[in-house]
Amino acid sequence: MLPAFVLSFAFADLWHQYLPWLAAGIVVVLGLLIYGAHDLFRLSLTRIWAISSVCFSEAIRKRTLWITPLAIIGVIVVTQLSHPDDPQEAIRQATKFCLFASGLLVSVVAIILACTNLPKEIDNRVIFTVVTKPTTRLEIVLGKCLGFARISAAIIIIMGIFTYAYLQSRSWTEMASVHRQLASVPPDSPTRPTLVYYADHGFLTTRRLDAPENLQVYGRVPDGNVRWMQGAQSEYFLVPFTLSEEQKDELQQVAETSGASAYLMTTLRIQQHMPNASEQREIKQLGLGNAAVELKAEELGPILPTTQPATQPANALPPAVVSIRLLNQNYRSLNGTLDESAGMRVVLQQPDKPGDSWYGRLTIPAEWLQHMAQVPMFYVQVHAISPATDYGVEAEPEMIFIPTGKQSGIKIGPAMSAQDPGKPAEPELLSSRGARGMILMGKADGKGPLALYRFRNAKVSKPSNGTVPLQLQINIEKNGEVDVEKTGESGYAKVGVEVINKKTGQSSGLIEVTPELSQTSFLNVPFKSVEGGDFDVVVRSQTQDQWLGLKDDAVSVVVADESFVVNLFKSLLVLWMLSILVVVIGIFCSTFLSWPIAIICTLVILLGHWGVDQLGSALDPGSGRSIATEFRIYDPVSSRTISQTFDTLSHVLRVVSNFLPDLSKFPVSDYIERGLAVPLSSLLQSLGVLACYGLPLLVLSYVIMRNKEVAP
Amino acid sequence: MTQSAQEEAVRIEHLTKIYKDFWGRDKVRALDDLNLSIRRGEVFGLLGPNGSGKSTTIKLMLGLIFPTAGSASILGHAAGSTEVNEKIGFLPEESYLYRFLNGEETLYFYGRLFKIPRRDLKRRVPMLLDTVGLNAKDRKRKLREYSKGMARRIGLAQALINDPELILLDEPTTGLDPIGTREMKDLIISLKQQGKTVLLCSHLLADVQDVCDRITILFGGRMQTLGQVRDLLQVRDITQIQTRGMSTAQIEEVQSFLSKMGVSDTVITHPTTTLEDLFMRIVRERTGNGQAKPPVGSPN
Repeated sequence: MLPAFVLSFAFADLWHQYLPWLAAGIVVVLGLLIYGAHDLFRLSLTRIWAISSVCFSEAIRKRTLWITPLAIIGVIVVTQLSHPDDPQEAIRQATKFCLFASGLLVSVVAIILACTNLPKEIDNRVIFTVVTKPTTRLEIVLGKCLGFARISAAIIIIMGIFTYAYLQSRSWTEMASVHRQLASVPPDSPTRPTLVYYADHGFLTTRRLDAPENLQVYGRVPDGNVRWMQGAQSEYFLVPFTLSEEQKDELQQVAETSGASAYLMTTLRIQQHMPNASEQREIKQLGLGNAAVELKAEELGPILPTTQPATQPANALPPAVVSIRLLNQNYRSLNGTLDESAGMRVVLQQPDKPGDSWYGRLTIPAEWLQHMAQVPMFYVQVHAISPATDYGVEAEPEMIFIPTGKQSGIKIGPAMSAQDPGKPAEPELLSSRGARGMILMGKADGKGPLALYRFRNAKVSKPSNGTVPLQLQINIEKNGEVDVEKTGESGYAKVGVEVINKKTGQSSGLIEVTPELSQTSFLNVPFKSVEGGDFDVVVRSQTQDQWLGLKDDAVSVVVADESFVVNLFKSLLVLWMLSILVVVIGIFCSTFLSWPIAIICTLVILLGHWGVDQLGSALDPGSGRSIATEFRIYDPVSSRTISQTFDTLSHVLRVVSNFLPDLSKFPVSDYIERGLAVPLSSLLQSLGVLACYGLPLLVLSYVIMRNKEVAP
Repeated sequence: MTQSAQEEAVRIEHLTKIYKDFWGRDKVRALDDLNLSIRRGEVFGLLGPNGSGKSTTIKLMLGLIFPTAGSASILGHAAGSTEVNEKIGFLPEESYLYRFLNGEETLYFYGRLFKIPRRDLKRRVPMLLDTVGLNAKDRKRKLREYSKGMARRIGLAQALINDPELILLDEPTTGLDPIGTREMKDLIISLKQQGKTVLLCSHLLADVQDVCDRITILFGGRMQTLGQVRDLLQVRDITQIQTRGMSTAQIEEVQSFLSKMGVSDTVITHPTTTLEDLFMRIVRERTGNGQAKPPVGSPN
């Protein structure tokens, strides 16, 4: 049953992924190869080029390109007004502004030209003298597209030349500043390696980085199958659940049966130490106290130990408490579940034998069960709450259990792993997110939690100097309270970085760096610690109460340098592909709408997918129920009607948005502004979206034009 | 292809066009069951007042609009097809051309739509510009700076760029001065002499009368009459005798003779020329006296 379920899920995913391609293929085959075969065979590049040349001449002679100097002046003004501290950041901001201005300019020009051209030619009847020549409507549509694509290319070339010249001049200015700083900073300054890196590589270099496979936050360096979290350090683990229809029915039945129940079972390894003074304070603040704790045992079914009730004595270790939340696929609280922000607290109970797993049980309310049965997938999030407690997470720490009166009951385990469908997905160990990424709390002795960036198959080539640069973008989430006079420390956040080669066990040793807010820093590590490409980078906050903000790509390894000009060209190529898509959509809309409506329609098509993405979890299944609750509609019939209507509308919006182009697939500045090489896969992805939406819209434009009476 | 099909340049059968409103209901019956045949090599006139269906017929023949019923075939192919467009030239009622191009660029553009090699265009474009009377300075000016007459001339040149077999001229003399009008008529006659078929659509009856072999008159979307111009204009119950140099006495004698023969309502008078002939004669005489010829295509 399970493989069939996995297969059906996989096919649903494939279907969802390739549906626009299928629709595009059908439109192209029917519209062009069958309906328009005659015109396709008569296609003449001479005529297409002639029509495109007229479009190009029109734009040039109507002084459309005169708008580019305005954009250039705008970029210069905005960049001069911004004052980033980091020289690299200054270059990146300038790059971003230049590409943003280019993108805005080319998109606006493309929309206006493409949406107005055909309606105006029909209106002033110039089209009479074109369609009465041996030009097919297909050639007219293609000629117009090519003409506007040529105009876009002209604008992009002008803006590209300006961008390069302007960035080069900024780079010279910033480099002079770097050389002045290098002359003044002492040799052991923590900022020196970064300055040296800039001096050696310049600012207009493009790095090819290998990003980590994933980031997890642990209480200690993992060893064996159990991975550890530290209590009261904002750490938690996530377990995904994907229920089959059968399992959803079972949950639904429990939810609808009076007196029936389902439980969320948690098993964890627990190691505790006597709390120190600061941990004692935390225990008080959390309300855990050291009072005697009554540990109740209930009928949990045969899968759990039959521990008799016990009392944990006062003034001993704190109870091992976890907080449990249910999250939807977007990592937001499952709508309608209680206590959405703090979660439900569960006290773990000791095992029969020392060394066995502790266990906890959460009774799931009927309303939760209904939500769980409605969503395609959900996560169980378990926070480690108790100070002085380490929580060991095993391979399958979570399970839904439905007692049936029989020995076994019904057990629902986590979803299967995406990498290995034969095994359940491993829990992810993470920590709470702050404004600047995942929070990593610091302890003075470096014994706080650690972030582990896992690199696998990184393409690191042997360097001539024996070291490989790591790029760090570590942010400070909260400054620690360091008594500078007493401790003699600098007051700056200290971060310990260690690289461990997974194949050879070779370690780089602990390297201390001093990150600054929103700045990129570089660190050279021995090649032996990264040789082979499989290595872990361990990051620790070394300063008491200093919180770091870590993003998934905060650590990356520089595998090669590329030419900035080539990278700029690739970014502009992506922009050009985007502008062609804009042109095609504009022409498509203008074949059946007046030009003002065509402009609006073009914007809706272009921004529809993005807009639905922005609505995010507001459109999740089950949101309708929350809306009804928010509006305090308690009548069951009205509530159900509102809920179902909203959910249906949300579903329709999502389906429609799947047929609209996703502009995030055109990463014009995403890579280059971070100094990264635009990967070939990204170019191909943009080309794919252009082909998937551009070709069918071109064919539809042709079909509409062929059946259109062009005489008003 | 049958013999009659080879002789026919245009064949229109039961051609009907009904314009509909937004809801698909009939709004205007612009053309109603038109049947027409135009022979190769003739100059055919399509006459009628405004709203009679002339332009609708032309648009249907060019594929600019689609018929509600009936069909039209041109030079053996369905109207509006690219095969037809290869062999026809069209001068619209106003010169609907790209106003940001100059005269030469306009002809090069339309020439490339016919895939005429650049080498041939280099030869044909100046020749055509000469034919329609656009001088070297005018042909480098943007079309937006052209007078109405100059725009008609460049419009005519683009219609002839492909050396068409059939030329559709919609109000060809509109906006032209009398010299331009005469040149246009001479050109039409010259085209006929070259074996071209010309379909002339106009409500300037004198122009049509001068150049057309056959005409049809449309009214209310229906064909009212069809035939040779000469036959249609002939008044069969009136006899006209023309002679030169008769004295008043001789005229009186003729009148008396006709009266004796029992012929009533006799009118003997001097014939008048047309205003166009008078204008042309004066301009020719002035030009012959050494006066400068007014620039062709100068603003009206």
